Amino acid sequence: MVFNTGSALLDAIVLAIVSKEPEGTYGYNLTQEVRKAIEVSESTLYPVLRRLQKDGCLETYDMEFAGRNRRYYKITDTGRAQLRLYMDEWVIYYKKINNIFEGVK
Amino acid sequence: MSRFDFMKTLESLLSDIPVEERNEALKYYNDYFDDAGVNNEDSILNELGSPDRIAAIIKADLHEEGGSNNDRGYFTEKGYKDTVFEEQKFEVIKPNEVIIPEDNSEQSRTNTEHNYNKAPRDSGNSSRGTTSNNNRLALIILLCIFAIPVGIPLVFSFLGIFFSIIVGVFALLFAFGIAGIVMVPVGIALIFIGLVNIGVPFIGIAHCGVGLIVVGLGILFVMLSVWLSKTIFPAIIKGIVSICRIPFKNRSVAV
Repeated sequence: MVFNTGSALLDAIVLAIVSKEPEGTYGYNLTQEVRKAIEVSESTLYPVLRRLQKDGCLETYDMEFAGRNRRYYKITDTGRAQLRLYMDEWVIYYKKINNIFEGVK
Repeated sequence: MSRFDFMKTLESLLSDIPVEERNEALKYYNDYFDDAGVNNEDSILNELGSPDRIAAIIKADLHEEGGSNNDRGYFTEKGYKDTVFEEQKFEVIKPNEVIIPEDNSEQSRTNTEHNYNKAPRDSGNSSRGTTSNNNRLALIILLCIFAIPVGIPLVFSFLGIFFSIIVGVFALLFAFGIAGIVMVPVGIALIFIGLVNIGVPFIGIAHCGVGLIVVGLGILFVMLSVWLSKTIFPAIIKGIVSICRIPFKNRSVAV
């Protein structure tokens, strides 16, 4: 990818992926999902998740999986509201950019 | 470095942050290794780089919480860029490479320098402020002195115009009143003439009619002038009083 991804956009991507799973998702899976869209390294997402958790956008809980407790991240109502805001802003943003790109030969 | 060594080193490096933060981070990376599976361990270790780097990232984020510069970092195709580190923070880097946030100390140093510079400059400004105030007062007095040759005629001419307007209004009202008062007896006299000549066709009735009109107009004029003087006189007096008050008001503000 040649375009930079701002921290707000990364927040939005993480919130969107987490919100799609009703039970929430876990760190490794989340990283793989994010990597489908943008190149992030393994160490990128922990600070993002931790900050979103502290801001009240995400909550964690532990669920047993294969004989151990796996930490799951789940979106909160605050997180949903924040995601809605990001998505609205994103629509405005990409429409503006598309308008400029339109008709370029 | 094995996964076990990595986690052990990370734990010891995070010993100076709150227990909750440490446990959270260790849990995350432990889960990460578990979920990735044993086969992927080496590639993850390779990508994560040294534990020092991961610890530096976690701590940088913790320190950032208090500050407002959340937007300083951004992601590129090669990873996360951060102006504090001034190198790619989250990119795959060679193992054993330690990132030390040098910029932080430099920034704070320059900040304190700025503060030192500000303090004397501020006091200088305040003293300069009082002197400039004095200068301004002197300039205003000088301006007043120079304005006298122009100002006095201006003031007098203004007063003259004002006075003449008032006199004009008074005269107009007075004239209307007098006209009204005079017109009433004139009209009565005309009616009398008309009555005396009532036998003469047209003239008598015409005189009576004109006389009645004149009496009516006279009464109207008198009423008009009385009404106007009732409303206009208080207004004019109020206006004069308020105009006279303006300089006093200004003076009270100035003092």
